[in-house]
Amino acid sequence: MCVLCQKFGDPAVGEGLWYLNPKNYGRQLYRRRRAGAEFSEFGRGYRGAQVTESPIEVRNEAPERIPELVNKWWANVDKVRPAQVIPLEDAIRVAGLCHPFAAMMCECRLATRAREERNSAMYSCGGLGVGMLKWERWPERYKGGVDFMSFAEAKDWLTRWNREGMVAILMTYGAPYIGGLCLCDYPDCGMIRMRLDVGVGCLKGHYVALVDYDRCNGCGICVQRCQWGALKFEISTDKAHIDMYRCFGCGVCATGCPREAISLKRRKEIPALAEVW
Amino acid sequence: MYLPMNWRKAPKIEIDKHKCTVPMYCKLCLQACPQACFQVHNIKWERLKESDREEAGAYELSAPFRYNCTLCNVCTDVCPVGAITITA
Repeated sequence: MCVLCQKFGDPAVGEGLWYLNPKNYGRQLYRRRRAGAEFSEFGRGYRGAQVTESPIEVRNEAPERIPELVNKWWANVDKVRPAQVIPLEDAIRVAGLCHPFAAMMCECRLATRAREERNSAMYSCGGLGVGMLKWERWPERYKGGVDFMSFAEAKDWLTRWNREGMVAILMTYGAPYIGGLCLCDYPDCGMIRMRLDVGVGCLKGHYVALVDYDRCNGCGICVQRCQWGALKFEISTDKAHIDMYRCFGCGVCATGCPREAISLKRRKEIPALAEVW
Repeated sequence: MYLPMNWRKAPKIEIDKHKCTVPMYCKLCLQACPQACFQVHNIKWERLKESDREEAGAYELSAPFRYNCTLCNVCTDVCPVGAITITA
């Protein structure tokens, strides 16, 4: 079972998934002071506790200590700022649970590629909850403003970015407070990058993608859409091949498939993958 | 998690802050780097005010993801002021 579901989920609500538990969006959690957590000057409440050294510094200077850092991070996963990959359907359900839902400029893309997203058509980062209501205090963070959306608009917005191939990642700001819904790709997104390069940052989703070999015609569209390096084109069989251990369950390949050959299966139904996060 | 087997210490990427003053305005290295090693931050925080990207010293370029650097030197070629030096 997912660590976050164990600690913050409610078996009676939303199939026991922690992000479908409305308590984790509560106003009371926003800005609650947590042990060891530092305040973020970007105006997003408290950051997670700093339990490890900077993962990027360790990766740069002492890569042999990465296993140690990863173990420490996973032992403190409820104190740090964990994130989790979610498929489109769950992202839409999350948009229905929180209020307000706002689109804004992506900070990661601004930092890594200096991509300035200045209008609501380009915004690719979702802010959830009461923290968004005072965005005007930090104009540097929210360049170009914030676009508050209704549920229907949020649904369209999420669907559009999913069609473009972005992975939805749910962000916490000091678990379990859910404050963001990032739409990410590699390498511009910090979360995917930290996970693939160092091994910390975000948890895998609750799903695993499976190919129906009878329906797959080998068009290869899914292969371009995978951000995790889990999808390959199997030339021998002329079909797509998903490495289930590498799959993060974002469902981007499934929504892109023109023949609906890829389906998502719950991770807990597959014995060897049930505890792979 | 799959990490590269050839773990090595990352190359050093030095950025001359006196030469590179407006990285957010220029952004050539950020967009050219094939491994996306660079990052640009706002270092001038003023309450309720957005920084001007053309103002010298408002933003700072750094290379936190230098573990990804392959020493291909695309960034040093593209830099108009020659502010980047890479040493293995």
